[in-house]
Amino acid sequence: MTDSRCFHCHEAIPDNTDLTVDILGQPRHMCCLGCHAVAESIVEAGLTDYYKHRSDVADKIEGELVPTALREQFEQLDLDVVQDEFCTVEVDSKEALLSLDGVRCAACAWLIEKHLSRQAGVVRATVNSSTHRLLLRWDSSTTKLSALLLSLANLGYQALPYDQDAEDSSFLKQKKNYLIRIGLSALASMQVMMFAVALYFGVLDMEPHQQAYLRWVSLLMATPVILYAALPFYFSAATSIKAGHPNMDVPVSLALILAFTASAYATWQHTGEVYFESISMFTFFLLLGRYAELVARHKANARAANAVKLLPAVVHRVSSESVETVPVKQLVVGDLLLLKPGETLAVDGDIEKGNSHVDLSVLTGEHAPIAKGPSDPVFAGTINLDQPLYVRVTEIRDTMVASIVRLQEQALASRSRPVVFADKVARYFIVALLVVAALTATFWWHYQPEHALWVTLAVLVATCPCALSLATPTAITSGITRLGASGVIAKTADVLENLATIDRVAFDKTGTLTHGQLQLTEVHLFGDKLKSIPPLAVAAALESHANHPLAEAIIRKATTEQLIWSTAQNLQAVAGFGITGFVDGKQYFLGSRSYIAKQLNLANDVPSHRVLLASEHEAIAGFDLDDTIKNDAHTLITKLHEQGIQTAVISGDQTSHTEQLASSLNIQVAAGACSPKDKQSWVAARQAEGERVLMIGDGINDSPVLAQSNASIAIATGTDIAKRSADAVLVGERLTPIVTAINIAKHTRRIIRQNLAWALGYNLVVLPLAVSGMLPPYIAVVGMSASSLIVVVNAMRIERLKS
Amino acid sequence: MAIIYVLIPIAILFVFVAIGVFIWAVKSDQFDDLERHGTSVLFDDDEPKSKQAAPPKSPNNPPNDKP
Repeated sequence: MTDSRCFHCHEAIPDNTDLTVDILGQPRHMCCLGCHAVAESIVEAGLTDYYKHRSDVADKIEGELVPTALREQFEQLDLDVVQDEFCTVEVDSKEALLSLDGVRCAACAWLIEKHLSRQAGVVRATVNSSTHRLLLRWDSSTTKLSALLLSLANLGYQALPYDQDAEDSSFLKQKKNYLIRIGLSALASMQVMMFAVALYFGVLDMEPHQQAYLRWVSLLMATPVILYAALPFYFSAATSIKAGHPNMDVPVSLALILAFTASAYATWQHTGEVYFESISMFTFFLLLGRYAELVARHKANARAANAVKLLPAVVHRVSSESVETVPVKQLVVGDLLLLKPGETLAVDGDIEKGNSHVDLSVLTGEHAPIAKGPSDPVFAGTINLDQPLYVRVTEIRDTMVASIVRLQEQALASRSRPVVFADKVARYFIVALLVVAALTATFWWHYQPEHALWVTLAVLVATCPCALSLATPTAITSGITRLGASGVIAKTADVLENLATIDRVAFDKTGTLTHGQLQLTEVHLFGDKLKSIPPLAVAAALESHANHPLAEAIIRKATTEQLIWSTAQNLQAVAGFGITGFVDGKQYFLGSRSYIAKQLNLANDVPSHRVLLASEHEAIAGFDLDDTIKNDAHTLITKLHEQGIQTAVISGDQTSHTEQLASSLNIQVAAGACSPKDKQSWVAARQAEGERVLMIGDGINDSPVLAQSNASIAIATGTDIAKRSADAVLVGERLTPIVTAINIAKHTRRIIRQNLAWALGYNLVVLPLAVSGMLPPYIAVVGMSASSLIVVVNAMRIERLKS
Repeated sequence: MAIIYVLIPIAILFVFVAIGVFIWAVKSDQFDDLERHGTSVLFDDDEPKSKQAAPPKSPNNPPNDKP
């Protein structure tokens, strides 16, 4: 039934692809070599149960399973100095907590555990499928961490140490604490409810000593609830009063404490009414709501923390005798570093020796290579592309990147948080509640003093804002869960509130609207002189050793077209211009227009393409390369415009490129050649005009503007700093979840309003009954519980919202 | 109705035992990953599995674990 779809990832299978693996007794079709390799290794390991029990499809494996860069990162993780940062050591084994990419369901967790436990040297591997973390203990004398990580990468899962924040570890304690409180209040409520039923319905033929007995045991069961389980509400209420902004916990705590004290007094004095069952039930419902909120928020936080990888910051230091690998911490200004091709510079410095092309995307967001030579300054985050560079360190702490991060932190600190709607309601509610309770007490005091206490108590219990305080958190919890399911991981709860009121979406260009890497878009043939070998294969042969975005694009295209190329001989490169060599005995030239013109002594009739291929006599083919726009960018912009949301693109790239992209996508405003600071002030200017801006970005240069915007989403493949400054992270290649996220936010806001209206309405209806002394305690309990449940069920509707 | 003076204390005793067991379960990390252990019973142990994987993979004789 899924014959036209890949068995492993369920993506459509491209034409003329014929890859199959025998799984569960049948040949299954695969969409690409990556999925094929993963499926084969799963079958070989005898772990096909994974396919039987998985509840979600696997990620598509794009490109190489284990890119060279990743392999190098793994190897750096074997260094002892690096491992000290994230491993705990016991006698003969080491333990590390790693974050996992690619885990979709419990079957993935099983697959990883089974696979790892069969590797030599693994002591224990435990996967948590809700936080996507792997606790790995291995014997460092028999195996290397890099070998284990590599074997996991071959299954399609990427494990790396991540930046665990303090919040994370305190959460586990908090979660257990809440669970115990919930369990206690649940069991206690059940007991007290049983006694309460006996008291309500057996009250006519019950002897006074039996009634007193039931009240006493109810008091016994309710005491731990009020003294232990309900503690979080008292603390939260006290903090909010100290801060001068009383929240919903103030009336809750007030009602709980007063009701308990009065009921205990009634038990003691054999008068009035007891509310032990209401107290226990309120506490239970409220704790459930808090717990759900805590878990949803943490799940989102944990996923976001997983995205921030802790990568080894090691460098190659050149001393008089040798080159040694040291952590950045041990560097001093004036050290000489060797920056190999493909490596990222960790500090600021000046080039001492060497010429190379570098990728400065950290500052500009653009990946186009830029030529650098001796005495040119280079900044931390620069990626060296083709030749080794020797760099003299000038700055270690206060690097260019650090200053961008500072800009981002300033923006974040000055950002005004919207006052949560529910807290606004709470403030008026408390005042109204206290006034009504006071009036009731005064009235009854003059009318029937012996009833004054009990009627006032009934007012407090009936108006205890149980449903009201559940209204917002439950809706936000469902909203965050729904966001996660659509591929947007929220980091703050505010993001839902902010997304709902967006007027304009601003995009970064490279890496956000486009793929962020050059792609070979077209091959032009001049004449038909090269029948034996396709020009692309010749180009790939010449470029097969180059480490350059243009070369990578050509090789990637040649690989996807499944071309086979022979090795080129006598390669000679002119850095930044072109390369020549012999393929199958003939000499070819590949390079820029000027390079080809010079080599072949051609004057003006060289066709204009980004890269040209020529034989000894004439140009054979031209290659057009471009950073292509993501497939669904157009759909996204159209959908946003349909909703009346305006769009903009702010880029560090040249103005002409930016405007061209904006017009091809119908984006209304384009701003090019922006520095990180320019981007931030552009958004600030819009905000000053009263617009509310959602920023989507991926680079370090986007981080200040992400922090400045009213709401921000970072692309998961982007940089860590961007992901840290954004409110949410967009997972996967697709952009359309952004529209879904805005819809979910609007829907959530609607549900919150409905919930608040219902809860307030209920309180208003029962209030007159309570004030007039006509509300028996059990009606108060039933009404309050039903009202809370309705609010919770209404909130759960958000999770079923279609995208 | 005098029996309630005996039965209710026994019931309360049970509740306290239940609370104690629950606290122990929470403290020994049994609620850490609820998605995971619900499905773990579905997976076979690897013992028979590795025996099946051990003989050379004859193409016409796949392991008889069709869904």
